[in-house]
Amino acid sequence: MAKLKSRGVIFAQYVSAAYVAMAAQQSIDISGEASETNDTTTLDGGAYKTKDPTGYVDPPTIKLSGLYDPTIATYTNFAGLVSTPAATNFKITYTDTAPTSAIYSGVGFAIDKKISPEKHITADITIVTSGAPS
Amino acid sequence: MKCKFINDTDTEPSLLPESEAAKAVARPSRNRETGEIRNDWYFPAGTELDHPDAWKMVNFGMATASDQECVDACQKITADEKSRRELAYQADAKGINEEADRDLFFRGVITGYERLQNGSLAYIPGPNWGDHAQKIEAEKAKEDEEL
Repeated sequence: MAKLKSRGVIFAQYVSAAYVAMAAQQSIDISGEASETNDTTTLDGGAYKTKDPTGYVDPPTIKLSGLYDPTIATYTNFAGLVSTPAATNFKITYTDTAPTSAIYSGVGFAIDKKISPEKHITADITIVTSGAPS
Repeated sequence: MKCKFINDTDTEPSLLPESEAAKAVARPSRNRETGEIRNDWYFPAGTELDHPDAWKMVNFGMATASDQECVDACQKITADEKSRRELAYQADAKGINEEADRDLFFRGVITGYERLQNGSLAYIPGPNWGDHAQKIEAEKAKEDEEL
């Protein structure tokens, strides 16, 4: 099994006609993608509770954390989505030779900036996705 | 309004007008879910995009304006700032985010990363790779001597 490097992963936002790389990110977290279950325990059942799949899947939420520079495309594009939300594609390309990629449809957007004397200014971006990644 | 992409640029033909979608080229990519090889689409470097938002691509540093309408719509910046922005975008698009690697990229020591079969990455040497390699060799030799 190959041990893939995080270094070199590309995360991009679709803007107008092309995917625009989101720069200066220090971490990317794609989590929460999970099949939904339903408690199907009955009073006449055994001691162990039972659960069954509902057939639905929760799409993931994407969180990026990086250095903040209000002049670069990463943030100027994204700020526009926070104030005027619109379904927008985001693409991650991994560092394997194929390479493997996934496209997520973002529908909810948030950006939090952190400013403190002993650190560089950073920003946390949250993207709520909808539907199946492709 | 028209611009020309400086590097290969990923796109989504299904979201483009037919005339522009026809300019996109396919390359194989693995679907993260099924593992199947499918097509990813991109505009090869030099492709001219005709789009009302072409000016945005120029402002990001990923394209150059190729008609007067686009020139007029773009931010007015100095040639130095333009070069700096274009180089910075190239690093972004190649996934070069680490400070030290960005420095190597900006100095022409590397041009990007090569993905190796074992999952690791190797530097793709740039025009100034030779000087850099010599310097590292010299430093190593000095260290060995001191030991």
